[in-house]
Amino acid sequence: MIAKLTSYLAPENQSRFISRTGLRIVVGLGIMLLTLLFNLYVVGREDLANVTMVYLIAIAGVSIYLGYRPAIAATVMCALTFDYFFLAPYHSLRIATGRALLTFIGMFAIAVFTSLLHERLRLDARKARQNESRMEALYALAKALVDANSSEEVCLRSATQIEQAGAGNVCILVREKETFRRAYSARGQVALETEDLALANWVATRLEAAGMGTENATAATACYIPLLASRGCVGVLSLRPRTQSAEATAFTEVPSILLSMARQVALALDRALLAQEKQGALIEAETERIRSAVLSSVSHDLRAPLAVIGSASSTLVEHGLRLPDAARSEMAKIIFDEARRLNELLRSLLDVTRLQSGGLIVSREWESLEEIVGSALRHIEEHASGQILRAHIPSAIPLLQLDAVLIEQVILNLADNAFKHSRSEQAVEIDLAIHDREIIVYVIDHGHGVREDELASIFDKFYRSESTAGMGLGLGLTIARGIVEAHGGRMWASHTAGGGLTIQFSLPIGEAPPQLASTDLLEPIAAGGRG
Amino acid sequence: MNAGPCILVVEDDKKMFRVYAASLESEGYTLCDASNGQAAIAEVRTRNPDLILLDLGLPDIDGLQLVPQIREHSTAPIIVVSAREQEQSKVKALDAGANDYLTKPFSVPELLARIRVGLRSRSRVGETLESTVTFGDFQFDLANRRLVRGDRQMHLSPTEVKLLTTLARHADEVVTTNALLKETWGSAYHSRSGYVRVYMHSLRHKIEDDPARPKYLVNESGLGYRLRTSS
Repeated sequence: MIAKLTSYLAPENQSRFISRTGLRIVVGLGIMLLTLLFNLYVVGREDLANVTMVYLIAIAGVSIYLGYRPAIAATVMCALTFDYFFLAPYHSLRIATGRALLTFIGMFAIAVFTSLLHERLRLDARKARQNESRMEALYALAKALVDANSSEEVCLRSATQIEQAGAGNVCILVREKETFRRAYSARGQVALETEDLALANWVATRLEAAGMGTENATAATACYIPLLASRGCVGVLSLRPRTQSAEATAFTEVPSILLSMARQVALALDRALLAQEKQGALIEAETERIRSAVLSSVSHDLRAPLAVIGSASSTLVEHGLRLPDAARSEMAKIIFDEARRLNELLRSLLDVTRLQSGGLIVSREWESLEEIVGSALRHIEEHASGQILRAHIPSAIPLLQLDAVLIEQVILNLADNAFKHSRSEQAVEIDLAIHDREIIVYVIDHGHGVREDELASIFDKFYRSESTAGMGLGLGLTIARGIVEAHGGRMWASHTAGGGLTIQFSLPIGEAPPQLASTDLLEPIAAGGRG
Repeated sequence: MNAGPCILVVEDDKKMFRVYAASLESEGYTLCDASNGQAAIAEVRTRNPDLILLDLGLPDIDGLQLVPQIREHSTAPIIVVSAREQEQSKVKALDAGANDYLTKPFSVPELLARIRVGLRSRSRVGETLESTVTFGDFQFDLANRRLVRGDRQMHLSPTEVKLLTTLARHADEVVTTNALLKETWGSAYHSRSGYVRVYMHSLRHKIEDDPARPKYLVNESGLGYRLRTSS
C-alpha cells in the first residue's frame, strides 16, 4: 500500500544505479564472476579464509548497490562456485569433509543475512523518505493555508498545494447552506459539473469518500473526499488523475496522505466560511442599523410638517369663527407652507428612490443651458423671499443633449442648498464655463461653508451638516449628483475663496449640435417684408 | 343658466372638487363635475363647457386618451392637471390638443390665471388673425408679421417670425417644442428640437433685455415655450 501511494503521490526516483531488476541480477552475477576470477588467480585456493572474505565483500557490495534479489542470486552463484572451485574435491559440487560443509554453510548464511539486512535498511530509509516528503507536503499545505482569509483563497491554495504534491487535477466544491454553490481548481473558480455535483451530494450526505479508489461508485473518473468540519460537511475535494501523464494513472486506493490533506483543508475552509458568515451578519446588522436610523429621521421630518398642519387646521376648525381675520389667514398660510414643504420632502424621497432603483428615465433632447438656467432662475425668484441670485451665462453655449427637466432640478437643488447655507444678504452666483469637451456649471455661495472632511460626504444620502439639521432630508445634493452622473457628467464640491461652498458639475459636450443649413440667420429680412 | 362661464372639472377626488368649487365659484364661474372619462364625454356633449380642467389620473381611462375624445366634441380649452411624475404624459396631452397644464399641488392664483388665459383664447377663436399681440413695449402684428418696439421696427428672419407667430397665436399658453417644430418647419421635422432651440436663442437675444432671464419668451423645461404678455 505504501508503495502504491508513493508511486502515486510522490513518484520516487529509485536511488539505485540501475533500475531494471533483470539487468541488476546480470550485473550482480558478473561481479561474482569477476570475484571468482580474482579468487582463483590472485588469492589462490590455498588461502580459503581470504577467498571467503573476498566473496563476502562482493556480496555485501552487490546487496548494497544492486538490491535484494541480485544479492540472493549472487549468493547462490557464490555458494556454487565456492563449492566447485575451492572446496575439495575440486571441480565437483560434492562436499567431502564436515569442515568444508561447515565453511560452505557459514558463508552462504552470512551472505543471505547480509543481503536481508541491507534490504531491511533500505526499506527503512525509503519509509523515512516517504514520511519526510509527506510531512513536507502537509507542512507546505498548512503554511499556505495559515494566512488564507477567504474561502476562495483556501480553496485555490489547497488545490495548488495538493496538485504540487503530485496528485492529479484537484477541484474543491464549497458547500454552503446545504448546497454546493462554488467550485475551485488550482487555476481559479470553475463551473460546477453535473457529474461532480451528483457524487459530491452523495458524499456530503453519507460523509464517506466515493469514486475511484473507494468502495462506492468505483466507476467514476475521480475520487471524492468529504471535507468534514465540526459542523458537518463544508465541501468536497475531488481528485481526478491526469490522464496524459504516465506516472499518475488510475489508483485503486485513496492515498492516505490525501485524507490527511483533506482534513487540513476542511479545517481551514470551515474557519474561512465561519469568518465570512460572521462578516455577512455584521454587514447586515450595520445596514439594518443605518436603515432604522434613516427611517426614524425621515419619519421625524415628515411628521413635523404634518403635526403643524394638524394643529393649525384644528385651530381653524374649532375656533375659526372666533379668531380675528389676521390670525385666521396666518393659520391658513401656515397650512399652505407646511403642505408645500411636505410635498417637497416626499418628492425628494421619491426622486432618490427612483435614482437608486435605476428607475430614472433620462429623455435627452437638444437643449440650451441658457434656457434651463433661465427657467430655474424664474422658478427660484417666484418662490425665494428676498434672496439674491446672480447668473453669469456666456451667450454662445453650444446646445447639449440632456433632459431639461432633470438638469433644471439639479440647478434648483444646488441653489436651494446654497441659500440654506448663506444669510439672505449673501448672494448666490451661478456661473457657466465652456471647457474643452465639457461645460462646467458653478453654483457659488458665500455662506459659512463646510469643513474640509465634509467636502465629499455632503453628497451622501441623508447627510446633513450640524448647522442645517432639520432643514431637509439631506437628499438634494445626492439627487443632483445622481442626475448629473446619469448624463455622463461629474459633480464635486470645493471651498469658495473667502468662505463658502462652491459646487460644480460638468456636462459633456457630445457630438456637434445640429447646424442649420438655412441662410436665414445670415440674411435677416425686415419682418413684414413678405407682405 | 348662470351668467358665468361654465367650467367642467374632470376629477375623481370629491374633496379636490370641493376645493376647486370653493375657489372658482367665488370668482363667478359655473362648475360641473365628472368623476370619470365616460361622464366627462357625456358632460362635454350636453353642457358644452367653456373650459375643461382635466385631471390626468382618472380611474377608468388614461386622461391622455380622453383629450382627443373631448376634441371630437368640443373646441373648449383643456387645461390638464397632473402630478409631478406625469411629466411625459403632460407633453403628450399638450401635443394631443390640450391647451395648458397645471402641476399639482398648485396655488389658487396659478389656477385662476390659467383659466383666465384659457377663456381669453376661447373668445379669440373665430376672430380673424388681424389682431395684434402686445407684450411689454412690443407689438406684434399677426397679419403683417411685423414686430414693433415702441416706434422702431425689429428685424426678424422668416423663421423667427414663424416661431413668434405660433407663440403669439397661443399667447400666454404653453406651446410644446413639437408644436413649434410642426408649425414652423412642417411635421417632417418632428423631434428636431435643436432647431427650435437655435432660433429661440436668436429670437430671445433680439427681444429680451436679459436673455438669461427672459420676461416674454419664457421656456418651460421639458415642455416648450410660452409668450408672456402680462407679468
